[in-house]
Amino acid sequence: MVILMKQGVLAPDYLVDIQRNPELVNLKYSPKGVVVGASVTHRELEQWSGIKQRYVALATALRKVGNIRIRSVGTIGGNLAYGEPQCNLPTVLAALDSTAVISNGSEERVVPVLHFTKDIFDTELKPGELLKEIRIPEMPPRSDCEFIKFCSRTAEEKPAATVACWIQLEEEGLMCKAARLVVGAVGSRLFDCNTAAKHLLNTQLDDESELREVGEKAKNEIDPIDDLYGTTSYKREVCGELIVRAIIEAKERLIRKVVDHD
Amino acid sequence: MFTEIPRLEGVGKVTGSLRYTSDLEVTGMVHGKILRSPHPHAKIVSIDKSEASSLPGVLAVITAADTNRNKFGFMQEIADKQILCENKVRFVGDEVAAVAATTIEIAEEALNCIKVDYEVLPPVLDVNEAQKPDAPRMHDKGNVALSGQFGRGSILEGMREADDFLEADYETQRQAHVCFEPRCCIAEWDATGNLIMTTTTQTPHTLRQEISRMLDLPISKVRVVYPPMGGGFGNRLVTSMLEPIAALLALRCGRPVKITNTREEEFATARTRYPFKVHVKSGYKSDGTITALDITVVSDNGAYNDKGPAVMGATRLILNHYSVPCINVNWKLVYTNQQPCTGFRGFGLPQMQFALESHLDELAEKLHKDPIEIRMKNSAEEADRKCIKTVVDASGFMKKRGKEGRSSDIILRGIGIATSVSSGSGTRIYGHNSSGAMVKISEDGTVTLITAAVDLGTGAETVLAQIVAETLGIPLEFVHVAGRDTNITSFDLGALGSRTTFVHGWAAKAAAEDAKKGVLAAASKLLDCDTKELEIHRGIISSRTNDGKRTSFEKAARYSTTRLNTAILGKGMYVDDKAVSMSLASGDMGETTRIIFREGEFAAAVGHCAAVAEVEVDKSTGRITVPRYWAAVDCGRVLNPLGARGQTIGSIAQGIGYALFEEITLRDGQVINPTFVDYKIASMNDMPEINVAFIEHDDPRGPYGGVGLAELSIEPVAAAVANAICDATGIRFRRLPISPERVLFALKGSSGDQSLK
Repeated sequence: MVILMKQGVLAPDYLVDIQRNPELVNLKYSPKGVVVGASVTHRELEQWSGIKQRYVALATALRKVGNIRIRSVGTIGGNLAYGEPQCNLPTVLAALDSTAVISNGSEERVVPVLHFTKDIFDTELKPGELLKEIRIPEMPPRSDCEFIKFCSRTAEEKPAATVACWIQLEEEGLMCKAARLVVGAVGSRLFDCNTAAKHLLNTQLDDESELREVGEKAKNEIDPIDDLYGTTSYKREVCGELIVRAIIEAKERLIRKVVDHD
Repeated sequence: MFTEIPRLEGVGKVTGSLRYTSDLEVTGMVHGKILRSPHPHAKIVSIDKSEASSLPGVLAVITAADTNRNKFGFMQEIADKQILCENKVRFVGDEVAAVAATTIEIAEEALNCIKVDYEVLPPVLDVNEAQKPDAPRMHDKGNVALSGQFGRGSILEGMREADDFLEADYETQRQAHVCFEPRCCIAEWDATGNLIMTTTTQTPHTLRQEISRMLDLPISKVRVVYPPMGGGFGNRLVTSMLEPIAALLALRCGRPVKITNTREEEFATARTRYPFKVHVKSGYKSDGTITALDITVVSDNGAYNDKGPAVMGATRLILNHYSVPCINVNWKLVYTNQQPCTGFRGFGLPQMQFALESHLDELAEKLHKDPIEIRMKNSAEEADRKCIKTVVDASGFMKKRGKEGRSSDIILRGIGIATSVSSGSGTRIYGHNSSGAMVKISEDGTVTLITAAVDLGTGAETVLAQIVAETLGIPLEFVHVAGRDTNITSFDLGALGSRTTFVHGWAAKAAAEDAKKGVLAAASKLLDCDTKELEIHRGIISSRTNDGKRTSFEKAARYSTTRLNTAILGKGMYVDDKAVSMSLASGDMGETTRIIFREGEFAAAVGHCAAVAEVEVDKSTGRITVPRYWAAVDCGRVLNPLGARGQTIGSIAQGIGYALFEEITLRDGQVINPTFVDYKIASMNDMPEINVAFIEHDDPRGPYGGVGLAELSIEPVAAAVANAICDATGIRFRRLPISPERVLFALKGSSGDQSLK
């Protein structure tokens, strides 16, 4: 919001500081998962031990937001409410099947993070509503998630694409039981490549040509736009590749976890 | 004395206590803001400033009607810019009106209240379009603003000697200087009508002349004061309209006026590097010796003339760099309705060397020879060959080039080399390359160097203090550097052409030697001996012949000042009597102004370098990184290894950005990436591991054997990287910056633009 004000896009008459509202600074963990209050900063969430153990992809996404000074001040809720497509978190939160809880003071409604940003700087939030918290479900057994932030030119720029891949294996063996492929940053909102993801089911995720097929299919499920970070054809091409890398990385980490466990 | 000495101003800089122009406030100061054209090309039909003028807090609103309507040009013969546009605006950002108000916010609001009626005209946005016969004219002459030619030998003969030919086109982009301190000035008139201009400038004395011309003031009424500056890189060589506008506002409202560019104004209006389109045709023998180089350069001049001719003049150094007997360069600068350009580290050499050093590699490939052999055959001086050999050995080039097994499934690896040359002493094309200095020795033995040198963060003051300390034989702590005021300092062209260490070093050395005489005269009286016996070492003055006779520098200074009633003041000069100005061709030139560079050496001394870059290219995303880089630099004797290394690394950082991701992007005449979010420079994480080798030797042309190196190392970076990418991928990219997208699609074989990959 401060950025939009500096650019002259927003010129509000009043600013209300909601930082100290106790409900918004919650960071709770329960068997159901994690509840992150909207005013929790990136740095707080990043440093929470539960994140590094349970949600590796989220930890990666958090670490790659801006720099430590920004993360110490910027809040999770503020980042999501901004509605900028290049943000890291929505991509990985959606892959983790997270939900956003919106409150108008008396009533609450729940929206999947996947659908929270509708267009550039345009979110589900209606006037009079506040983003209260994000709920991240507990990671199902034998599942893992990988997040990739792809900056095409320099190390510190807005990503041309963000990709998150969540996979779950069957109770026994190495067959894939469920998968989610989410692409962000390339266009005006998040893209859920569920048709492509279906092709991962009932496979062992070890045939690279099959994985490339999945990447190819996913290219058709995204709607990139031309901008300074890449043309539509470049972003499409790169996403196909990043999805394959994310699947492989998630799978290999998952197999290591599962083999240790078993 | 010539060891690794940290910057004199270092502590002030890192603690934030150093005051830049942007930090300064003056009693009664008010704020100025400039109304800029939103159109690339339009007639100004009318301007209504009545509403703005009546806003509370607004003290002055000016338009062209409030100026003398003089046209300005860095060379007055090619003046084409009014301080405030009168009839036409010629680029998005062109200055139309200005406001002085008690706060910046009120000034901004006032800008919004100025009503300008524009009649939009079709813009010219491309140098090819601009040259078409039916193209809209931007000025009262044709769109080819300036042109010239230089070279040696006969191209016809050179080409006749050739066994074969190679032709290719290369293209470079607009690069932003990205000075951390935006342009800023404070204009104040004193009670007797003198103007004090406190500003960010690399060229205070010529700025004084420029302001005097623009405002019809005698030079004696203009004083330029220049605090420490947060970067220059060539951006602050010529006035931007901030200075005269602030002066006019201050005159009108009777208060000092401060104007600071916003970061957007810096990116969108403060002028960029000249982009070059270079056509190279080489004739060569089958052994790789080039017999002729025929080069054509077309550059986007932007809306107004600036340092273009000097930028082209700098490329004359290729005559020093290559042994090719016949070289011809035809250049032209073409007006477009886009942000004007100006000098930038290396001037025209980063552009030219990208073209020529890429071309040498293409030649090597065609002849199945290695790129080292081609360079050894065509380099002009032993110093160049030594740089090449040093960097080839340091990097292991021959072992790595074209070797199997370097690349993996995902990453392609390559290595490339490029060389360059730069002025190390300032150029001669302005007809003046001299300066003077004074050394004052106070009664307590402290020494003040009064120099016209401008330190833009280059470490100039430190190196000059070292030279003075070395000459006087005293510890560095005794020396302070002063100046920063055209009332005090000797006339000088400023910080450009890597001249400061050389010109100001010579002047400071001469001034110190002169002052030394006064110290020794006093010491000889104190010690009752001949001055010829005495020497000064680490602040102790002693007799060579009589061990017992010794005193201190401080004592001698005190004795002179207080007992002999003789203040110690030394003066010294450096005069380059070979400087001959570039000039306009005489006679009927028609629509285009022809510029002539006189024959003779371009610079009193040059620096040489060679560089090797290793790149890694991700096959499936096209992403390019430069993990390692080697530079061999010959700048004579290195007077401050810390400073020299710093200048080299900084140059390489800008070179990497130039090669891979920096570009001021224009769409319909509008700069669409005028912020740090969208214009990226290399950060720590983008920098390669850099190895710098200085090939040290005493260069007798320079003070204590050293010459300047401020620009040298930016010049070969882009070609070294492009050559490495070609080694890695087999694909030749001839246009900067080389983006991952172009690399990816070229690797997949589906790139449309084949000619300017």
